[in-house]
Amino acid sequence: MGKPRIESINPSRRRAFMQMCAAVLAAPAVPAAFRFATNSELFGEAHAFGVEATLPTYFIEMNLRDQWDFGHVFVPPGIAQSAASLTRGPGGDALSLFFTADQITSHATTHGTNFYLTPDSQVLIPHLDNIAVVETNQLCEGVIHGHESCNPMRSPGRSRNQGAGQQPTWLGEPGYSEQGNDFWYSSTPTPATIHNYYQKQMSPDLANGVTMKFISRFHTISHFAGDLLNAELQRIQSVQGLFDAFPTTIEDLAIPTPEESAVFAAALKKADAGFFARRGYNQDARNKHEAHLAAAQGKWYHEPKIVNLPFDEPETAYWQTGVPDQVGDNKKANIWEQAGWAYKLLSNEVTRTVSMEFDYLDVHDTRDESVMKTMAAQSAIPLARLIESIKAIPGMWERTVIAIYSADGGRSPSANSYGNGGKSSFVLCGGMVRGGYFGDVRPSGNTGSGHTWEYLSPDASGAPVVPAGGGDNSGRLNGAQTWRTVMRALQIPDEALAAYPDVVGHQPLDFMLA
Amino acid sequence: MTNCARLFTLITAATLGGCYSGVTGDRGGPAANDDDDAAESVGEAGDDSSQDPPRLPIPEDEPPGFEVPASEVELLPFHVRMQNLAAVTGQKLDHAMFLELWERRYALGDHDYSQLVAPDLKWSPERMEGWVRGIKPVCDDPAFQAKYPDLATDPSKLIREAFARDANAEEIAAYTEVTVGQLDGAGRYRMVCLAVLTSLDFVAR
Repeated sequence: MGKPRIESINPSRRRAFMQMCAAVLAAPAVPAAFRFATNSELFGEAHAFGVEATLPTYFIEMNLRDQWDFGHVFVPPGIAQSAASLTRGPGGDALSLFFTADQITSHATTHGTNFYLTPDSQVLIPHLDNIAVVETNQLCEGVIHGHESCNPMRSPGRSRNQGAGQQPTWLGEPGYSEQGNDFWYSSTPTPATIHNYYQKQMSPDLANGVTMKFISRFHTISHFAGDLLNAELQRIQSVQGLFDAFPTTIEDLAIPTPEESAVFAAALKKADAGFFARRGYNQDARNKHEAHLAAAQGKWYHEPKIVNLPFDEPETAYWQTGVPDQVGDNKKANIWEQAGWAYKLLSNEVTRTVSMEFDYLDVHDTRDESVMKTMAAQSAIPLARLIESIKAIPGMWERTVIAIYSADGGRSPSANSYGNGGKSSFVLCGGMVRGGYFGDVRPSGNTGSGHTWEYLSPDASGAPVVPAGGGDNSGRLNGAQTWRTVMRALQIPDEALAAYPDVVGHQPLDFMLA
Repeated sequence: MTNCARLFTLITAATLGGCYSGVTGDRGGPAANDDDDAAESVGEAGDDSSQDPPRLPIPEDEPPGFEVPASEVELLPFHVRMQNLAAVTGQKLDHAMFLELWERRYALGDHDYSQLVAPDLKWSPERMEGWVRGIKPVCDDPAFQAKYPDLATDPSKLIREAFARDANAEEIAAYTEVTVGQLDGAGRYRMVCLAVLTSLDFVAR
């Protein structure tokens, strides 16, 4: 390796040059390998790693509610290997798996790991090298058999009792109600929110990240910024609201020049100064408002980024085919639509953070074949198409993270199960992800009508050897580990995470990262 | 949107909006709540009094009302903001100057429970942008300008109508500074109008 070429540039101009290089090389069309090679050539190999860390990442947080079961997507090895002898069926403690043993297929990854898939999840085969699954995560603890809006994987340390430094997590959610959500306090920001914060720090002209609040009922997902200013995602509550937020044309800016926008923001800051004391708001409120005004300055006048979100016919055919409609009380948007919109927003560099919220209406007692097949098609097919589409843009997949949560708890493999026990699923996808199914669920006994189950968490190497509680958190992965794994994949610096006491001392799950 | 659809939206909006009032009496100041009894005051201009609007005393044995979180500003409900605009402008809510706001109503925090769209009262940067876009036609409307002909040089009348009080010196200075860089009276007028009607005293509780 020769002398880094950056040294041939006058030191006073190096910083601007490096920023320019980072911006040019950050374009999704630039392959990651080329980008790294160029950075290495310009800045030296050691420094290239640092430059890489300043490049954008793209994040899709997929929050699946009402205790989503991936049982027809990723079959735990212990179940796959004993499926021929298991009692299967839609009720009681029978296994809610509606394929025979010969229909379950084994797939090795290049990492030496393995998956067992069903016919409902074959569409994921091309991407298994970059899909990591673990289901022995910390359980959800909502008072109604686990239902909660927060999830310890998304906000480690969240608690019903407000501890020191903790704030309400629900205040940003429109129409929030306690039932099925619960009131949680925390100090740890949720993943999409913290990612949104860092990406906007890196690129202030980005549109704010969004969360598509398309769950069919009063159940919701809490997104929480903690003390991060201007980190909150834009809450989108309807399809029209999404289209309004990202119009296909911009005919008129709110304020015509950046200078006028700056004057306007400064004047409002001054005019509003007395409001807080008059109305009993505290200094936090003023700080947040002034941060919002500063951000609004960049919105009243901005270079519009246009994205055409409504689907044309070929797009509809691509994203929709084979994906069942939303099953719920008040259907708001299908998951294939959300996946397509997420792709358009990210690939057009409008924003870098998109959260999807979706549900399959809470099913208890019996879970028949249609339930399991619908959930499988609604999760596996949109995921495969998202990955396929992102991979088609050179360099983008290497910088993309998709985190999928069974957001309010998972299920035991038995038909009659609830989200406060059994599996608690987390799926991580991305170019930096080391694919594999980590941990295991095995039959531990026969009841005559079905089975009992034993759960094994992965150890530090990923091997399924740590006995875990079926209905308690003993032996399960701490939510802080999952959270830090997502942060590592998103390239959010470790030092920035030291501010969050509930994740300090916990390490990422390295076996999930390439 | 077709003309028919726009008309339907307008009529629907006006019908729905008419159920509420954002004014606390005959003064045009911001409402404290959704008091239906004040509906008749919609569209009436306030007077120029500088006294605070009358408020009913709270009986001592009545439980405390809902407490607004003190750590983040919360907007007035959308329909209250609209009623207040109607009072300030002296126009009914089906006036064309409000069309842009009605079209943006859900982005600006309005609700439609039938579609599981809940009120969203965050005063976020996105909402600030949408609000300014929405009130530009109000500021540009001849009826508004006829009511506030001197706004470019003297914002005190609009402030009194919008805030139900007189402006203090700092506010007057702010609404004067917002005209910096404007080359003509029309530009100054619009900036003062946008600033007063976007200020927290008008949009938040």
